[in-house]
Amino acid sequence: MIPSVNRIAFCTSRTCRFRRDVDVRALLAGALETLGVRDRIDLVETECLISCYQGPSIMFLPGGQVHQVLSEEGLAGTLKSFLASGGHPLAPPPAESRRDREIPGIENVDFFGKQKLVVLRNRGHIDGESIEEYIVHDGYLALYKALTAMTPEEVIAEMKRSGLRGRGGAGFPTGRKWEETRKYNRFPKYVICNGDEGDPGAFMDRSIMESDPHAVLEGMILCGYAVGASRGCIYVRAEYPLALRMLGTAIATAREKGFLGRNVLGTGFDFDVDIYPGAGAFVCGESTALMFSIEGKRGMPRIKPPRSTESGLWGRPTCLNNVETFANVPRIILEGGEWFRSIGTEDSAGTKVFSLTGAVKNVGLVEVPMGTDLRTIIFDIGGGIRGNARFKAVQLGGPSGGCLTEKHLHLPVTFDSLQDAGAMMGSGGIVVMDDTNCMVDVARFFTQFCVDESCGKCVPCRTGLNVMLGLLEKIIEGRGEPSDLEDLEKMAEHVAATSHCGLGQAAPNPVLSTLRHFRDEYEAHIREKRCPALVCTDLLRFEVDGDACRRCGLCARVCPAGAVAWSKGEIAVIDRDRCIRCKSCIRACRFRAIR
Amino acid sequence: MEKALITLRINEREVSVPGGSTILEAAGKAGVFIPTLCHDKRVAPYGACRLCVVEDRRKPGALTPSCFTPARDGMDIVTDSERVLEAVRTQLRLILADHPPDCPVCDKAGECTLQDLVNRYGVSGVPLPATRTPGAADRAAPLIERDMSRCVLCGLCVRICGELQGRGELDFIHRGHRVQVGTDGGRPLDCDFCGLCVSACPVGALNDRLYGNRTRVWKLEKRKAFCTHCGLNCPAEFHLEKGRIRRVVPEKGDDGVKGLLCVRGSFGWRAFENAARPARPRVRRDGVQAEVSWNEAVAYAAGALRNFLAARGGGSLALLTADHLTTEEALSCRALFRDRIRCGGVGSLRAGGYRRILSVLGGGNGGAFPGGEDRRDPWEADILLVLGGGAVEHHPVLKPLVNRFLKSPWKELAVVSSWPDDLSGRANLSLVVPPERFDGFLAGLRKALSGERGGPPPDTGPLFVDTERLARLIGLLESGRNMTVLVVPDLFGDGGERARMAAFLRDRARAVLPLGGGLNSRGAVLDAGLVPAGPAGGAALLEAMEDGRIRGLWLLGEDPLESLPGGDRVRAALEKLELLVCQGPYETAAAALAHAVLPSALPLEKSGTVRSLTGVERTLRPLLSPFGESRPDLEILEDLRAALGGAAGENALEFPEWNTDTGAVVPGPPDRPPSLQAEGSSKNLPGGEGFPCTLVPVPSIFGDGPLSLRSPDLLELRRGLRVLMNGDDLEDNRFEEREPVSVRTPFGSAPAEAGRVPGVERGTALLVHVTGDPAGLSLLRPGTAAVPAVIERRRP
Repeated sequence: MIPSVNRIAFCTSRTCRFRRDVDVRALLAGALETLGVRDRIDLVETECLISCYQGPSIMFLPGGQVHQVLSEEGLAGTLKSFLASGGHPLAPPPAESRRDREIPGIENVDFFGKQKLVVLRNRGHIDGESIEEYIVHDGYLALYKALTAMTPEEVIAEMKRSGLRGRGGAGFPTGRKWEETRKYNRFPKYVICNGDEGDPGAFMDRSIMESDPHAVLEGMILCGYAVGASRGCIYVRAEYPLALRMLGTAIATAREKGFLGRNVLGTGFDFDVDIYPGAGAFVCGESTALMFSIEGKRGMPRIKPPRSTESGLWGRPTCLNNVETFANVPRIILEGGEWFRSIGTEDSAGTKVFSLTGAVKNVGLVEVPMGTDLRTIIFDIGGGIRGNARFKAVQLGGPSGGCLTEKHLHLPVTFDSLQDAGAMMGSGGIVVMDDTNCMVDVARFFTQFCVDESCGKCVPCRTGLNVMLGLLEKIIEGRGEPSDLEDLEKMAEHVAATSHCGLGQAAPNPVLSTLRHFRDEYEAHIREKRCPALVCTDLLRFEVDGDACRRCGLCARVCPAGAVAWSKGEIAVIDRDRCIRCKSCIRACRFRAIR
Repeated sequence: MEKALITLRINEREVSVPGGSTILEAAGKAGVFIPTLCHDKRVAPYGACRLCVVEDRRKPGALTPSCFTPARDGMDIVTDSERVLEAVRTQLRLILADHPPDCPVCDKAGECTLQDLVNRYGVSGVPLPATRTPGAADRAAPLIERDMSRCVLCGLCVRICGELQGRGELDFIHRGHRVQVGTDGGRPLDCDFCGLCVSACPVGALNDRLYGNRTRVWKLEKRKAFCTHCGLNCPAEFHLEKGRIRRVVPEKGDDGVKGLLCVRGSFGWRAFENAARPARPRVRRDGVQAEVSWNEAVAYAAGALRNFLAARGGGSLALLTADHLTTEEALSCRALFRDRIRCGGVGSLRAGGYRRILSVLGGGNGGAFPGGEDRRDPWEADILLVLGGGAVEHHPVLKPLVNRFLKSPWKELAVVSSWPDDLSGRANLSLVVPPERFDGFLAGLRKALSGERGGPPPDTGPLFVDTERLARLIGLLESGRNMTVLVVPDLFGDGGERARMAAFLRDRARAVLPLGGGLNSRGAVLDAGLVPAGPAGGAALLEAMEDGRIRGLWLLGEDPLESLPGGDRVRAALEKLELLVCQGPYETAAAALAHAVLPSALPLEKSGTVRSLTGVERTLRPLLSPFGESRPDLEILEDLRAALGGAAGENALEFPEWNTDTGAVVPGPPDRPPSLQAEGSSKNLPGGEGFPCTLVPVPSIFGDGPLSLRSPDLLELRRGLRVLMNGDDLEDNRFEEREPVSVRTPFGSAPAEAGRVPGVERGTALLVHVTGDPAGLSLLRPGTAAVPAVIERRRP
């Protein structure tokens, strides 16, 4: 009766827990017990299974089919039928009768099938806390290969051949950075892994650290070998407790097995890694601020030169890369740079992990070859817009990125392709917005984020952003004047041109790109004192449009203040004296009849 | 290291600068103005104000901050394009949006960088909605007022305090638009009060409280001179109004000591306004002092001197000089007291340790310093070896200098001291040897280095230091790397042994620099030949006065009651004297006992030549008019010489051992046995409960010199006698920080305030602010570096 399922992995990461906080292990154990197969199937705790939109997720192995846990009864039923038939709940309905149907593979589900997993290859397949499982999946083989058969120069040459560019956002060629660091003969040198993922809506690095910590570690050790470093530091936000735990376990077990510490794999190479939890300052994701933070100083970007590769942590040559960059390294060493270069585009080799969030149906992690267009990511893999709303904009690269519109969906996503349109790939956060998002409000949100998170060092970022925020608030509150747009644009350009670090230089992007692509919305706020997306409270009149109203009464039912008068078959009337402007009615109305 | 020249164009002007220069430096050389607010040559570029943006024609559209961007060959820089000017104006508008427009009540108005730039770039009106209103100034701390509502967050105070002064008292707190500069938990400033932050602040956020609200900057007459508090003679700018000092600021410049002052230089100037000075000469007639004219006073003094010489001979007279004398005055002293009177001894209490070290090093008969090596920049060395504790306490301006030295990662600072001073806290290698073993340790080390066998030196037992550190020290000394040796005397100890160690290392060092001297200590020894022969510390003098070998004392700016340990013994010895003359600028305790009081001028009231501890000769010019009828020492001495007439020293005693010229280095065992065990065993202590410890008198960062002790502001910072101990000792004995305690030693007792200090061994307490404190001095013996003591709670 039991097909080839021998293991079920279940996700414990916080995205799944946010969706439904149930004890998946207990549910699974109970269901298997009921089916009498508890002793034949392993239950493995794992981290991100990437299909966050349908969490809590479980995965059947070795097939790799992913399934969502809803309730105990549902789970039991699914297990029974799945174990019996091998079918997959996400698969398209069978064309033939049930008996004739082949078991549809996971590759037939768009969300999975259109992805190409390089960095996330091990997600769910292995237990991140088990070094043995990582080893079974070719883990540390690259390290062995490098230490026994390659010189550091050859490792660097392989990295250069691969064309891998830094995944943190700036896209600096990794091989060149390693080569730079190797050049300086001052010791000790340091390798730093930047796990201070801070963009709102980005969680790629967290998932990698949680699901495959050894890949990151192996990448760092390889880097240490290549650049001649003996110490590594992983800087992880303290808000990622699970990532901290997984990395801690990974480091401890790697030390036990001789992959870390003195005399790695008996080759005479020494390398050890420590974890530094960050205290949650966004700017500490900037490399020089991060190094100050590790040193126990205030995280503020410093001036360059000297570059960190020459004088970084504690004034020593330091090679800093992002989590995802390091996770790519073992595969490159194992499969060769040519293989890696064959994926993706000419200038941007390999794959990129995106965290797809917002108004899209399938929220989760998406790993696709560089150069995949936005439409594929949002509509094929992401499944399009949730509900009956319409796609409006996509925001890439976090608070430093810009908003793009429908007409940009054909653009391939690479390091350089989006710049002309006023956006950037950044570290890989993709936030999809539908027509219930006000673009002025979106700009205000990201600007507020940067005002709060600026380190306060340089004038344009500290004060200029605050001036921009003031203008945006003025517009949102209905006090906007036509000259504000020009002032806003000028100030945004000034901040971008004269700020010191990436935070300030990129912080005006949300404003600049929305001004460029959604200027009409700004104009509506200023000239008509109207928010087209019905978001900006101060610009709402809380009136029912009699033509649009279908007299359903939903607004009256949700109003917490009892301000909506409605009787069956009548157009609702809002008593504006009693109205507390909470917008419950506006959200509830399916016909956008309240403005 | 000469770097190749690169050539670039700035505003069409071609300029060549050494590789590694910034665009801003190149512009400076080309005579092109670039606005800055957060730039100060004393600290590393920072790039916060973004006013210094320029355009490179080869990268149109991009704005480059020039303060830290290296100039490159072939750059074509424009600083006055409309785009650059507009960026600067916008930046100024942004800064103004966060700055209250309270210039009428701001002391900085008229010399405010922000005000100047706003004016220069024609920013007018209130261009952006202001976010800050004038706030209340924080006057919780002495001397420095902070008005953070005016702060433009350039970070200069933070950087100068952390990077240069090494104190880190100020730092940024909060993030984003809420960021501000503050202290730990918002407490009042409690720092070195060097005032560098005030000197760096481009706006009116940090203000000098002694200056504040008293005048306006355009009324000031700015005179370049130098600080006279210690022997480093730092260049300073004295700002005068109607002949009175209003403030003192560091003279800006990029070399060496320039641009740096310590608390004494910045805030100690009210010593010149101290009214506790004799206005007219006084002489004792019939047991009573009476004011007389200068003619009478000189005649009286000369007569008394003549009678004394006739009765007792020159050998019974001793001269004590503080080093406020110019070289000319010191030479006059030498001519009068040594060559003419052939007096029994020329010593110094405050500069005794320095003179002793210099003479052991071979300063000898006023000759040139050995090899002239010290003329080379001592900070160019790779290794800075400090022998003796208290280098930065004697000369606080060494703090920023050492920090600047340590900026290069390959530089090493090794400190061998008898107590954990400020420098040992930041040394790469610090060896703290207990005071009673310090000389023995150095002698042993010297033997070890010279290859002599025979185990540890006699009388010292084991070396009592961490052997690994010792090995590292020896490794450093034998590494052959470029080394500068600083030799620091103890407050009351001798210092001869560390000088011998330094002399031994002289061949390996690029410079040997004795420290701890006053205004013209170096000139006094090297140019005027005021050389002590015996050990420093005043023990010999006190004994000579007690047993009658010395019966007359001429005090030139010195007061044994203020700076010679011994308490009642000193007073009794002074009272026994047959001739006591106090010649000096201030009213002193000893003056009450004197037969004649001759008021002399302060350094800023006279002219002459002085030589700094680093060997730089400077000319003193009067900035202030002398107080009352006081006259420069030179005039007084020359008048005396004339009044004394012909040879009077014919029947003088043979020149005693006190004044033999040593000439060469005297290697050998310490001049005195470790005295702690000898006379200070704890059984001599009166019984009672309390914390038994070894008490080490140490110099104060707020100054122990004659000027510093007369500054009301430095005295306020000192807060009287303090005993500082290990935090664990403090807690074990349940002393509170700042609790009043009483200190007892076999020689006396004194009230003091308890405190903690990092790094002190358990069972040791540091005694600070003892100079000028008669009760504190009574705890000690002259010539000793440490005494046993008991510290106990003061009974109500």
